[in-house]
Amino acid sequence: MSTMQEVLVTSDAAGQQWNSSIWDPVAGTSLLTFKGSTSAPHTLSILSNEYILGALPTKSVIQVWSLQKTDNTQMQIVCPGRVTSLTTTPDGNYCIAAVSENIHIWQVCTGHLLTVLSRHYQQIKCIKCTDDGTCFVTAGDDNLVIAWTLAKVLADCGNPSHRVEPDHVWSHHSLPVTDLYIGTGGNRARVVSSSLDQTCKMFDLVSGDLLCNLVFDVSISSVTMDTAEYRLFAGGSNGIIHCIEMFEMPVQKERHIEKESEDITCFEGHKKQVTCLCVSINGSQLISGSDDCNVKIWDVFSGQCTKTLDHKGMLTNVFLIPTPPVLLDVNTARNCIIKPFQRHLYIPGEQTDECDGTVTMMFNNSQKVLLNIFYANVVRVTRHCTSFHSSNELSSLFFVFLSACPSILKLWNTRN
Amino acid sequence: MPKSRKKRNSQKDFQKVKFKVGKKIQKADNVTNTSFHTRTIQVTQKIKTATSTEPSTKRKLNAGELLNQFQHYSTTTRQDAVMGLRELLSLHPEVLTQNLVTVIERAAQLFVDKDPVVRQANIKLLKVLFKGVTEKYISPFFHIIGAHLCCAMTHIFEDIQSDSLQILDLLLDHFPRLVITNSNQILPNFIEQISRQRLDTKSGSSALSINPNLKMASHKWRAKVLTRLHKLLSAILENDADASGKTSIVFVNQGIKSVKWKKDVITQIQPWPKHFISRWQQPAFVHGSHLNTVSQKNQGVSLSDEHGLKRFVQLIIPLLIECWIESSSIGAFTGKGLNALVTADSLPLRTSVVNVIQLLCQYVIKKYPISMTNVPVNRSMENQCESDNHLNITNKTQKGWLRKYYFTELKNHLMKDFPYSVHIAAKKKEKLDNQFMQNAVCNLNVAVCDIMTHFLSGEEDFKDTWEITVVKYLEDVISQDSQDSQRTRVVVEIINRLVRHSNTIDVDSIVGVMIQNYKRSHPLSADKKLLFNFFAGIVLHQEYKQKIGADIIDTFMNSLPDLFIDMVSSNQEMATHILKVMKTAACQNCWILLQQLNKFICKTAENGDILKIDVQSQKSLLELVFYVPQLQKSSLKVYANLVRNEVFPIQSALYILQIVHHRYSTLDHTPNGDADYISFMMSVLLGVIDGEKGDRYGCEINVATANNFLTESKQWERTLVLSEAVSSHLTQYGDKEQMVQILSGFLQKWDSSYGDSNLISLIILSNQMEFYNYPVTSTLTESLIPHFWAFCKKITATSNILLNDSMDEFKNICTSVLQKMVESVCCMENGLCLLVKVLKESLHDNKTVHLELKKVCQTGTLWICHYDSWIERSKTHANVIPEISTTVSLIQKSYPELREQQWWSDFSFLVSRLKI
Repeated sequence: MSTMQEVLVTSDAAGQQWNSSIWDPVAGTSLLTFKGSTSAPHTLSILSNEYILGALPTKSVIQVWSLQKTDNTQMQIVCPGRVTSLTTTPDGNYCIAAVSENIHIWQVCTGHLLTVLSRHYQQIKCIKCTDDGTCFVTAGDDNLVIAWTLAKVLADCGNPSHRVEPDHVWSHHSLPVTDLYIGTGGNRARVVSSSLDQTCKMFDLVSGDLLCNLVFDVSISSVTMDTAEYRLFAGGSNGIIHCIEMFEMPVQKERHIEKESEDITCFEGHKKQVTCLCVSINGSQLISGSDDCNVKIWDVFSGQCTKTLDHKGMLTNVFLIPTPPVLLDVNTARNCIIKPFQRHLYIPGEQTDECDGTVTMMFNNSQKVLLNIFYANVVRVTRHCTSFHSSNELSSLFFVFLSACPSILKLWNTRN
Repeated sequence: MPKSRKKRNSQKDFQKVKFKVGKKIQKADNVTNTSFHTRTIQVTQKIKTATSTEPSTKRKLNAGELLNQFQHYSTTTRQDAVMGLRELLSLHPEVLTQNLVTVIERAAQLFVDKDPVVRQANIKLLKVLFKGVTEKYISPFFHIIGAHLCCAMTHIFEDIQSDSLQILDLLLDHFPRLVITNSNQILPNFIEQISRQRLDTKSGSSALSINPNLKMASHKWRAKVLTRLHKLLSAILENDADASGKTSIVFVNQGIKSVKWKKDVITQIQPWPKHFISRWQQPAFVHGSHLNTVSQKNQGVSLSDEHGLKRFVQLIIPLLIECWIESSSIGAFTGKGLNALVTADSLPLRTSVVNVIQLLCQYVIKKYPISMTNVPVNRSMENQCESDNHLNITNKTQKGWLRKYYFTELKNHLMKDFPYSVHIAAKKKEKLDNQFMQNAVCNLNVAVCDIMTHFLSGEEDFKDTWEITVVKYLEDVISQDSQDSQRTRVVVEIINRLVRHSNTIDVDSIVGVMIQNYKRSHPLSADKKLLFNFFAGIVLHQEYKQKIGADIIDTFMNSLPDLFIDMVSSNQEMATHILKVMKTAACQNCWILLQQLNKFICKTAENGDILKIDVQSQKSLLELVFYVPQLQKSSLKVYANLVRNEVFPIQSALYILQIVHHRYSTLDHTPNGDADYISFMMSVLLGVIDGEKGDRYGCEINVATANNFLTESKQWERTLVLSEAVSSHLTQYGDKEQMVQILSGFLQKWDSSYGDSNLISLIILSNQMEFYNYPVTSTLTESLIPHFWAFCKKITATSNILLNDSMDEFKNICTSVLQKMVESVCCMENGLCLLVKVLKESLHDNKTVHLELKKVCQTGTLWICHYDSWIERSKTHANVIPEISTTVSLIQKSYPELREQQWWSDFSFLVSRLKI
């Protein structure tokens, strides 16, 4: 178990045995299961390697489980509406969730609702965050794919008159967008979206260009790439996973006709539409989840299905994560605090009693926690600084930061 | 008297000639005429010897010689050389590429030639020269041209200066991009041409006296220079529009290559961002190196960076305003109110001043939108942190510079007498001329409006009277029926800006006039398109649509379906655009449109409009089906008919199947929805409309086609593809077992005479749904088997060369389905009985051709081969086997020649094995 690089997280729509489960992808054995109801598609998310979040498909509730099996207390957070898609930033500071066509962003450690963005016209199907947490991309039933910068969105939060403009609005798709994939490289990454209009489109996050348009003969319900972005996999609604190579072979001067090409163009095995796809970190294994209640593990290079994990219902979430340290050692110290998400917009100037109370409590609980939050914020701010175009934006961000944790500062001052 | 005669003669010889005054002396007879005539012989061409292969002019001069003569001291030689080169280049364009460096260098030197004739000839040469080279080739030499052009522009002789403008014209026509990148070289000199003029005018009325040989008045000269500036700026703007591609309001569809995925073909693609690709073709540092030509001390004005642009604006706007003031005094009108009258003399200058400002505003705002912003005072920020104030201040000064410096000045001068009108001079002019003036002044007014609306504040406290004047004037203009489409375009642009940026102005009435115009104008007119684009941009925008009245949005949306139907046969491009607007509106949940959507799609499908547009547009039209609020059964019927229509392209047919499938599997997954969905799919599959009730009417249509079905390859393939698609969708939909139950229930009720096409569909359906695996369907399977068997026999008997591939594949499917079905119902002997029956038939029929028999036997072989696997399941086969063997032996007796056939011996061997 200690040799595991990655673990697989899955959830299905039946929820008979469990809501979601963590698997060892090599052995195909279940390591941990989390019970209680089901999670809606694109809502299961891991929060800073310590918690697992999932939204109920029918109620406006987000469920939170701790990855440490020792305290299997499950937390339920009530939201303003039914959550249709959810993600957390990689640093675990923010939770971004879509309630029908609005995007809500909460600060996890305080539970403050920092901002509500409305730019989509219909239900948002998928939210993905870049690997460094600077940007996030949303896509929905209104055919739009919209890219946002987190720092810009959060700057000047609490000012209701301030209108946040997204970085890019891509309206190239002609039917609802079903899935998104963001490559590596932070705000310079490439975004791939898949849609029911039988295409996948790749966008450049930094310039907003449409890089390429891939046309298939069926609707595409899921898309992913390997870490090095050598191959693109598109799961079709007929159960076929299409493979496109994102490199071009050098022109061969000699062609041997009798030599058959051994490259793989598609993976056939699922009977119904493939809704979830992910690739292992070394790019050799493709994992797919489908409406036919199976998770299949494929060898990318030979196109063979190496393993099938049976589920009881249609798959809603399948993704790989680097093995959280908690799984290997139960006694790992916890340093993430999660507070119930508030339903009203947080206004930085106002210091409510509740807010003070929260911080004092945190302080009493452990000094270390506060330090961690503070440190994480500073790190985040400095990291964002590099991506700013003008000093003006930078200064406004410092305001946000300072105004976001006035109570912490106050405590900090009294302490010193 | 001989003596006397002789004497007389000799006397005659020596007689003295008397000279008289006023008479010419007669020349002696023996005088040698020493006079001579000269005549010049021009040797215009050489007698060529060795290098005759080289292209040359009529005068047999080649390019090298001509170029040498460019520097000749004689004017005529130079002129001849220039003309010669021009001739050479037009005859042999390939000469140019070999000598481009020298040609350009020498030609550029002649920019400042003293002789006007040479310069004129040179300009003619340049026309030919620039036509022959592309921008790419000339760019490395462009700095040479630029330098010489600057020389010419700053030259002491006026005529050289004015000729330089012609060269600039040429350059702007051919290489606008290069002029812009080198603007820091050219622009300063350019401005100098009027600024010096300004100095002249400042010193009094010396402008004309300084240039006695310049025939035009100073204001005309200025107008001429300003026209060039206008041209330069418009070239820049056009060029920018190409680069950014964001000029269209809503939709940007660049020509990104689409990669189509194909099965068994490796798809490889390497996507790169556009800025990368452009870097490969034209590295940025090439242009950058030329920028350094201006010395550091004298920072030039340039249009490519912000500081240069700022300096340029600082230089030019005061000049322009002065020109404007001066122009208002031309025509000797003084006194208030009279300035509003524009005379014919002052019109060109005024127009060019206003046009330059107009373009300048556009350019600056486009490049640096921040320069126009009204810096809002952010109180909360200022309160919170004082140390940051410094930063804020510097930002502020940078932000609103254009507005800050020039707004009031422009407002004072341009808006003082705003609606300008024509001054009719005392002497009578022609009516036509007057009309022209009217139009020009109207354009002038519109341009002024355009400039001023750039300064719209969008802030409550900035409400000004000029805004109201402008809006009033625009309303007047738009309500007139103007023929000038260019002006209408500008007016619409201005109103667009008003709607977008102003919160204070009430635009309702003006937009109301526009929607009236929109409704009234002819569907094919340019105005319609313009107004359509305007409304599409406004209505689809989240913010702007709140500013105009809901009834206007309603009117616009309601007009779309009809407009599409009008456009569909005449203007495809516009029709596609309308479709896009409709789809975006549908995505945005525009209720008014959604209500009409169903009717609209059905109408286009029924009257065949959908067949008139290309496949891509068809797809986008069909995508609207996804957004129809409630799909009616009747409309599904229309779609099913459409899919079965043979003219309808198969890709679109498959697409609509998929759309309906997704529509029902995600949004309408209810019992009622399921029923609608299945009946739709079955009516596509079998041509049965209203499938639940088992009413048949599609079959009647098929009767005619069914007979010649197997010979029609297109139809065959279409049916195959459609059935495949429908079956695969049905397997995807919901739970498979339930689906099988529903379908078998339906099919049992639907017992009808199976047509060929229906049988194909059913075979494919049974293959995909795997009916035979489910015990529920045993009765259905039993009833289907005889039909399938008959059909199987039929297709084995048919050989159509066209269908060979798909036919073979289908045969395989057929037999495997049959086999599995037979397996499942354990009625093996049924099949064998059939075989016996067929064999007996062929025995009785004496005319049986061997070929037919062969096919029967081949099918039989197939059956018997599977016999081993069936034998455990079948119970009563004893009486069948002997029957077969007897029949076989009978056949063998009656056709002895069969023994020589391989297939027959194979078959008989198999039959003999059966016994054991």
